[in-house]
Amino acid sequence: MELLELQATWQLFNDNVIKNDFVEPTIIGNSIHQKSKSEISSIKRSMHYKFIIGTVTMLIGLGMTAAMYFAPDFNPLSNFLSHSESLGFYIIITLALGAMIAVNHRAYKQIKQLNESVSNLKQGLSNFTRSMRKAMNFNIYSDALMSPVFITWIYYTYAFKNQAIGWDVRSLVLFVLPVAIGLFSYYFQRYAQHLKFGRYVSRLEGYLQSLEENSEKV
Amino acid sequence: MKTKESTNEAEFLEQVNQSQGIIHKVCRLYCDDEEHRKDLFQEILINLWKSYHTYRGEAQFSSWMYRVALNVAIQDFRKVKKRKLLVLEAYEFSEQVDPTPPAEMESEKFRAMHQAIGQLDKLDKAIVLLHLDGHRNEEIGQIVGITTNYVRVKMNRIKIKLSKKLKS
Repeated sequence: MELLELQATWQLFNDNVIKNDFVEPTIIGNSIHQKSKSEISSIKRSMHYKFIIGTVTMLIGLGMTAAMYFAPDFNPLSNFLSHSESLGFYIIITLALGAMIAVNHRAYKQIKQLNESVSNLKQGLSNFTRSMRKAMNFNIYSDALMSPVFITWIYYTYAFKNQAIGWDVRSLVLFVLPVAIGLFSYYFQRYAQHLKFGRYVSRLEGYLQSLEENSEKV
Repeated sequence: MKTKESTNEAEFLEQVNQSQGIIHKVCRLYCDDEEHRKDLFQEILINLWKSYHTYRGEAQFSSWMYRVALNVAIQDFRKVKKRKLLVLEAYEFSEQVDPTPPAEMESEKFRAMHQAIGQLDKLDKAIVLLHLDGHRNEEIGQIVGITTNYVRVKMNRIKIKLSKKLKS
């Protein structure tokens, strides 16, 4: 088959598509209201849930912090922590969640905008790869932030139940633990995200690069 | 009384229905199996509807549809597990789902065409689809976001690749 024949075959292909693929308008009408199955939509949905859960948890944390600040007798974690320790716990959790929610919100907004805008393929690739990188970074950094906070507090609760912080191994571990868990979470998540989306995003970035580089040359 | 949204939806459905061939052609070129084709078809429709408010009638509706459909197809991502199952070639898939299979000669030509276009990357597929559908280089440049000259350069390279494949 030669190139000219390809054009002729394309016409046959067009006829074939019209004859065999066309669907009723009702099917199109139903399809537009169905849930998207794309990976980017599932990322968006998971970010949306994380945002809701994170906001609710942060508000609870904020409420607890305020309640503990204004009512010194109130300590919901009295079985494990003293009043000031609990207050510290809630402040750290609230701040960590606040940071996570802010990053989540920015990435979510960008992905949402991406779904609702129409650009040329080059711009589309640029916006899409940027949004994907933001979503990947959010997953990496949120895990690297939240895991050390929770695990270190659990360790603190058990290791310092009847003992104050001093110059000993337990106290050293208390400072080394969040750094180690933070680093581990960061590298683990980076690897996991790369495994999941890395090659795909890199390929799209390659397309984008070829369009940008060659456009400049011409 | 009709609401603004229902009027919009009716308008949208009418326009999409008239040009639905665009979506089917994109799906046939970018998908290897029926399940993937159905998913991509639905995905394109959802994206068209979500972004319909951005269509202001400045460009042709079909050009706008191409932009959305090709963006969705290029950005489409399927998990590797699913992709491993996709071993059917385009023509086999086409024969399986066609209620009226094309004549043997046509089928052979479709197979050769799908195989030749199938070796191209997603971006080149978009350019060749627009070219075969009769778009001028200027229009292709606007849809892809590159200069008319570069479309020409790209098309020449694609023709060489296709020619080699078709001859073999």
